[in-house]
Amino acid sequence: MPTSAAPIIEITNLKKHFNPPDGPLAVNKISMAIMAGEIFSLLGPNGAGKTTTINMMCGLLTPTEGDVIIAGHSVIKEPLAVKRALGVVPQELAIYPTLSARQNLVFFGKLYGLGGSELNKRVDEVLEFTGLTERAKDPIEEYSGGMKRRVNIGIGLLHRPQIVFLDEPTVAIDPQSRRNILDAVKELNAQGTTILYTTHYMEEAQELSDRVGIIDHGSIIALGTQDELMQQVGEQDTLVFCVPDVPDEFIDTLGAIQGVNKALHVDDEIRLLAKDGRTVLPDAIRLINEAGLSLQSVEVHEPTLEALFLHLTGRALRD
Amino acid sequence: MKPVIIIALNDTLISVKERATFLTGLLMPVLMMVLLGVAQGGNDGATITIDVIDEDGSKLSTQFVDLLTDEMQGEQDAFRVCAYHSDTAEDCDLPDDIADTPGDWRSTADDRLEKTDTYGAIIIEDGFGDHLRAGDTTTVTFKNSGNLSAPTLAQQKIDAAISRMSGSVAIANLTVGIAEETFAAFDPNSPERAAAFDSVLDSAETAWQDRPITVNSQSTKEQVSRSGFNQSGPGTTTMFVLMMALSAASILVYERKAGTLQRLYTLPIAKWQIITGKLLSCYLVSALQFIILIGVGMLMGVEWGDNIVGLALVILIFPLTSTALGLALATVARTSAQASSLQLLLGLTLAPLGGAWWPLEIVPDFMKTIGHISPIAWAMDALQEMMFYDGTVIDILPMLGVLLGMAAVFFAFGVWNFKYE
Ligand SMILES: Nc1ncnc2c1ncn2[C@@H]1O[C@H](COP(=O)(O)OP(=O)(O)OP(=O)(O)O)[C@@H](O)[C@H]1O
Ligand SMILES: [Mg+2]
Repeated sequence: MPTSAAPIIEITNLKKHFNPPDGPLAVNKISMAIMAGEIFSLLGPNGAGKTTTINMMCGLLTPTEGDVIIAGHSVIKEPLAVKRALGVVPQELAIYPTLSARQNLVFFGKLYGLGGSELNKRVDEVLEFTGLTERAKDPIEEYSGGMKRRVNIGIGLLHRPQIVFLDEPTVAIDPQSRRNILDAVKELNAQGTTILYTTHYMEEAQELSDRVGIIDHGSIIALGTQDELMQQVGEQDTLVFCVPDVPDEFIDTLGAIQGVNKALHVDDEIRLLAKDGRTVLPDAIRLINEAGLSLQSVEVHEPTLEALFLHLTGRALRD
Repeated sequence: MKPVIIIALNDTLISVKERATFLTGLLMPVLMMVLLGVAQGGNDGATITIDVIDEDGSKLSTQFVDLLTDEMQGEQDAFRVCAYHSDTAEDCDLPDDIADTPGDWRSTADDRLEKTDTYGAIIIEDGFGDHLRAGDTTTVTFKNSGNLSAPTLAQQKIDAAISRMSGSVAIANLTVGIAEETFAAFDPNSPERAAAFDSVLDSAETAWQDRPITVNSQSTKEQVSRSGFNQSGPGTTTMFVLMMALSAASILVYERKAGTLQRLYTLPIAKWQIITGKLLSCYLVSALQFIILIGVGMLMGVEWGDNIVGLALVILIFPLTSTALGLALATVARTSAQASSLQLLLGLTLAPLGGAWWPLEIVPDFMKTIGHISPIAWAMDALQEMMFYDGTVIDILPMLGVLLGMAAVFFAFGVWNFKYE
């Protein structure tokens, strides 16, 4: 991957306090850098502050405090210069449903300053890239959810931006469309585009990212390459027991087993973080049986970002 | 400036693709124009029905009726003459057997006057012919319903017929008199005198046919009817143009909710360019709608007047005021549903207040004053000044000035109150 050591984005003390003093503190003094050529994922649960951060970075929201320097320009002082370097793909579909994909692309392309044969060429290329060439002339309201998402993404790529922000581009779509989008993101990155990708799916962050920032309640609680992050969890395994109808007190019983660092109850699952999963497993199974609960399956995971989040917050990434 | 045009054209494309634009922008106003226009009398100025009751039935009275018909149904078809003894005119709606029941004629006429089936009735009483022949004076009775918007015009036509008749009769009597003095006196009731009289009368009538003096009428304008389509045309047009421009509000609020407005903010263009582009599209669409509705109105007989420059100025300025009001509205509405209902509310209050549904002449003075908070009132004033009073551009400058002033106030409020985030 063409990652270089030079930061192309520098965020300093970025803060957003909506409707102060009683409104939510959505982003709480974030500072971090994104390197030219990397895929950087911002991973966090719903309401963590991902969208708010991205919106401040692209000049859509005015920060309460702090600044972001993108490609050498301050988003506060030179918003237009920053916007020229950026392609932004918003979380919500921001397209005109009665127009066709081509009409949408042509419209936004013109506003990005493209024109003439250059515009047509780019529109064709983006349609090809997003796999929409055949349906390009149909109104978008007749598209499937996945196709709409792809138009939404394509618009942000028209002007060949140096940097692309993708805000949860795979929310609520089928596995196949998600696969296409993830592959497209990798290809875009391979062409040299720096990518900031937000998600609450740890699998996506794991598959795509050079580096990951984990955000929770408006703060970055961990940041680094995946290896660096895994070291923070230590050599821990995650044990996942599928057991219906577990009383909450029982989780504490499991947490008391020698070698278990954290125990958590998510839906029908019990999750245990343990230094050595294999030594803990027999005890856990015995206790579940003694409590008269029906154990349906057991899995042992290698350390994951999910486990890191659990380790850091005591909560699951998705709840 | 280029992004403004790109955005304006794109928004215009979107609203032209939208079927609702045609329904609420063109179909509804045309329907309303027709309904209100017909309810307020259509183009009633065109034909006014006048009944004629000839109780005399003599040669002279028949001649008089012919003269009257001739005068009244002249080139312009302004009147429709319904003679009871020979129901020949179309659309008179007289009873079928009217010619055979002279005893009922007067009560029929009173009835029709009361129901305003007719606007006036001319009664020629028995003995009309005999009196004239004998050189005596006689009278005809003209009853009018009081609803006649141009009673003087009808009166003039009747007077004209009477002078012509009186002239011929006087000539006939004079000529016969001179003949009697020169030759020998007729027995007053002899058929010889009647024959001589008739022959002179005929000659006189024939001579009248080619009038020795005719009026070369050069009045600048026909009297323009102030009701019917001439009220409903400008009324519904201004109302729906206002409503169309107010949709700027729901578009802006909708796009804020849908996220397309935010996406535009992430592009390398200034925010004022984005908002201006959106407003420009609303302005263009409503100005275009204005032009189309004026054309449709024309087809239905609305007389917009001859002041093309003045009309063009109203077409340019009134949508501007309305769009500015739309922007102001967009800054107070939180959801697009809110924006749409505010849009409807404003449209449905400002239109009647401003005289779009009925003429402001018929409302009390204080309502007329209050009504002028509505931009529609000023647009209607300007349009009617040109339609009814041959208003020049100078005459409508005050109204245009007020509309521009209102536009400035609404824009200022909108820009000051606009939330970008
Ligand atoms: N315009 C706003 N006004 C007030 N509060 C807001 C606004 N936008 C976001 N918030 C609040 O800020 C916090 C962060 O929201 P944000 O949308 O950034 O989260 P997110 O990480 O993008 O979540 P998701 O994964 O659901 O998209 C939330 O508590 C949210 O309620
Ligand atoms: Mg979000």
